[in-house]
Amino acid sequence: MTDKVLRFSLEVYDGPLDLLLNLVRKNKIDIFDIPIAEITSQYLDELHRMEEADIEISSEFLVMASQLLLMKSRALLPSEEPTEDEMTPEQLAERLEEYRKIKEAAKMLDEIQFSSEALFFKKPEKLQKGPIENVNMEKDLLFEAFKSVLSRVEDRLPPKKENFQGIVGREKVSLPDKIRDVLKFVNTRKKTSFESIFESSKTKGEVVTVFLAVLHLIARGKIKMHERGGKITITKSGDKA
Amino acid sequence: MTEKLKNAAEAILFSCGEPVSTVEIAEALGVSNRLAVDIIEALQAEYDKERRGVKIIKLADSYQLCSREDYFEFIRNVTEPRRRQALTAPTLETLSIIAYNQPITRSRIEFIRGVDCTASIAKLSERGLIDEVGRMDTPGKPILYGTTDEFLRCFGLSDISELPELSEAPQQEDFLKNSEE
Repeated sequence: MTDKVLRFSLEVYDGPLDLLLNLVRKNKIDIFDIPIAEITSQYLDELHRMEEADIEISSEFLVMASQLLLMKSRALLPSEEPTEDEMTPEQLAERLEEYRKIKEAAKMLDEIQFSSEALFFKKPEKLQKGPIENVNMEKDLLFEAFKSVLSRVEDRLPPKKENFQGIVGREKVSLPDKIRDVLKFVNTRKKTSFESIFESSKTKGEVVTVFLAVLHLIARGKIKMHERGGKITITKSGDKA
Repeated sequence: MTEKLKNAAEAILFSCGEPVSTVEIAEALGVSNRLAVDIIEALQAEYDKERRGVKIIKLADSYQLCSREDYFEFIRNVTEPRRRQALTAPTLETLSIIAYNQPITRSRIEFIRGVDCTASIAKLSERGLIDEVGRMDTPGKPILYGTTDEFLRCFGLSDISELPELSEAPQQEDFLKNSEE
């Protein structure tokens, strides 16, 4: 129980290069003259220590470990032809030197990262857009609404037998009947959306007839049409929307 | 250079708030780019001489109006305290790789650091310090990253060339000197 040693000073490395650079510094050796065998064993020792401390060792550390071991074995067997993607001691030195410079740069950036803290900037001005022009589009709106109703009817799946009636037969839809239906529909609800009038219509012929009925009733002043924010509502004549 | 043009430039910088490029200023004033720079610099000198409450900073090819640091304490009395969040060491490393090597691809950044940089690149993008500046003309067309005006502003630089110089690889004699320390 008591032989468990707590280690508080374990370094956490930011990648294999960070670890290697630390070893280079600790050993006071020249980046361009690294004793590969010695550094490799120190590197592996450090990985073992990390493992013991339950620090997750990412794959990058292991890739570097295998590259170091390969380099070490190459030094022992110089006759072997190295493969193309193999790391040479020179390449390792270059990478370490580049990484060392970046660490130095990061330290400098750290020092100046709050340079503009005492400065205040104005938020960019939002470009004012002109007012929206109000154009009377009632007729077009009606047409568009009608088209959307039509397409909704067409979208109903699967296609029903009735859909072919225009081709293989003739459906019976009478305008006077629909006028009566629409008037009843509007009267019972007092206020209804344009689209809902078509809810019970199942074929194109029916939609067209209902639309005609609506036009008739408007022309005769039996129902009224109101538009607000692109939505059309239908009310009984005399009732306000 | 007329007083009117100088005042107009001042009005433009105030109205826009964000950095305004030399070209935009020149076009707005109807003068050459060179004259536009002269006008802005004259304005800048005037502000500095009088230690005015606002000053003009240069960011790459743009200029921006901001408050002068001398009056920070006073401004602080009327504003909400700022959240000061330092970048972590790994994020700073990624940022310096991009700053010193831009434009640069993610794979090159990761090669230099030797670790995955997805998180730090995302963090830097989120803080507006880096941005995608194009695509490399190689298979896969990888994204190229570069620093932004926000980076310059944040780190008090007028231009990327003002980044502190990096010391070269220690030569043999330098190395000997270092080892004596």
